[in-house]
Amino acid sequence: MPRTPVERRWLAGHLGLVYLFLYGPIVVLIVLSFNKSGLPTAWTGFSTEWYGRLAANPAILAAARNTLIVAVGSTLIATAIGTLLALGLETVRPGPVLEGLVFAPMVIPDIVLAIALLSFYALLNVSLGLHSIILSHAVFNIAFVCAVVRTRLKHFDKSIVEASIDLGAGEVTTFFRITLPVIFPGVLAGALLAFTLSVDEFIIAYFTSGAGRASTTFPMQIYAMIRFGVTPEINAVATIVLGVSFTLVLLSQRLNRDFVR
Amino acid sequence: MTAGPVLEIEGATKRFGPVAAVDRLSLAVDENEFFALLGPSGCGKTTLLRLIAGFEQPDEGRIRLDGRDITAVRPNRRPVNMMFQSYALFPHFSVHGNVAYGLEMEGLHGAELKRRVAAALDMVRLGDLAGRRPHQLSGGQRQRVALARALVKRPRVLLLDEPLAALDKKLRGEMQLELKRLQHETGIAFLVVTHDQEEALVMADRIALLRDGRIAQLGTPRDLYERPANRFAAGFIGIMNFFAGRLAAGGVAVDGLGLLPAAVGGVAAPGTPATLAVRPERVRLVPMLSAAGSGGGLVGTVEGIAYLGQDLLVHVRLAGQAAPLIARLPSGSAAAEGLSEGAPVACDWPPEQARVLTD
Repeated sequence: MPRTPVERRWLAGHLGLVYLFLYGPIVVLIVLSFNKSGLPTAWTGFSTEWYGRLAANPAILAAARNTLIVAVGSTLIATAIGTLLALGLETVRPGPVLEGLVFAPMVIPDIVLAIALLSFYALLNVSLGLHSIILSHAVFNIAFVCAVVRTRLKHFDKSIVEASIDLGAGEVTTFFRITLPVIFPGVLAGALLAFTLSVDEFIIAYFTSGAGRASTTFPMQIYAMIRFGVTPEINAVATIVLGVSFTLVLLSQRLNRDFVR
Repeated sequence: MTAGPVLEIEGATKRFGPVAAVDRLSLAVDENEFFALLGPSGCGKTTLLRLIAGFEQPDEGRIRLDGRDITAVRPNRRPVNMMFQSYALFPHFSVHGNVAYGLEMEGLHGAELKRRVAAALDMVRLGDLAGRRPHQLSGGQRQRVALARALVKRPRVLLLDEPLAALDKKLRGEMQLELKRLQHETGIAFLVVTHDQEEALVMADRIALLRDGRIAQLGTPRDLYERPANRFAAGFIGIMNFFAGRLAAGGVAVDGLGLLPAAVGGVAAPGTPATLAVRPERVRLVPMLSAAGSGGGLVGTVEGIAYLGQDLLVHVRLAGQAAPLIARLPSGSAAAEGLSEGAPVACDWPPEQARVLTD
């Protein structure tokens, strides 16, 4: 429907307000992370001082390293299992119950999942640490990877698998030479999403990290720091996390869109 | 030309739940033959093709290739290749990569691989597009790639699943002849599945007409067109006029129309329910001055005339018949000139050109 210039201006204004509501606070945070004085009340000049201080803070660096380990580990596990799960579901054609069970970890409140995992580990006498966080993050990430790969599989012509077998390839060759390369953009998009979710995740990591500071992750470290007030350092940390997450999510969406033909 | 069957199917049955998609079906495809499986959708022709390729296992029956039982052989070990209806080209490979894939699986590489791929692409006239990706090709070109990819393996039998369905009408006509040329050049037996009777008539040496998982009729295109074995075969291929009645001496007696002439060669006892079938091009029409005094022949009223260029298609309304009689005559002929809508017309045909079907 064609719109008059006035209508269009109103719509653009509305859109602008929505984006302002969504991103206003974040922009403020980013700007403050470059504020020389570090005070949230007055702008005293541009400075990257707080970023420098972060780099000199061993606790933050250790937490960043932990988060990277957790994110990479859980992403690898979740990507492998989630992709196979998606391929399997495509052949099984699950009913609504099975379908629901696959996606439940995405919508179960984090706190419930966190408590459940903690009790589960206690029951099995699993020690807590980075490894338990990796497993916990893999639990919900499998569901996310599976969901992303399945959207990709909707455009997947299954007859190319049969064509490969018809031409003399075995099942394994067919998977690595035909199926995986064709769905790879979807797998990569799923992996990027899983990585992002793992980097940001707090509650489940907090519950399943065990006692002691050895397995403190990045979000847990920020939470610990924030108890003494919002420092400019935290603004800087948040800005970095934001940058990383934003890049990964954009990349993930792009991959899934560009390669769908 | 016939050096014995290359492919034999013996009593194959495939059930999906309670439905038998293929039902105790047997047939043999000869060496160097262009064989068509023809039938409406759901007749089991694609299932039969998948049984031969090995993607489905028959519940009963055997499949033999060159006399060897391959029923239990896995699809990647059968010397049979398939051209898929969707072509199933690998989107991430070039044209060359697609065609080379099957040979790589045989362990071929280097110069020999390149030579075989190039030869296959030349055969389908795609030699200069080897570097393209499938999405950069037209529908017709994709089809040629799919053909080259299957033929390069030199299969004993090439299976083609609705090979021309995705092409537009003009291209389809060209490809029918192209497929025939390729079959002659390679000497490979082609087994093509199609729902398009014209396609089957043009291309195939023999046709198996399928219905509900069984063969309704098997024969040459001429057999099927001119000597249909049953009502289904008569109605599926081409246009056919049907008259239901009872068998009598010299033809079929139809209520309200009297005796319609047909060659009745001891098919069954007189009085048996029978259907007379006659092709439109066998029907002769003679314009009449008035409906009266026809001399006992079949008389009807011209209901409509369709101009097809070379021919006219004439619908004649007959008393007591739900469907009009369809006649096809050359547009320049004397009979055609005298026809006009609403005018009475006398209809007949040579008795030997009418089929009597008692099924």
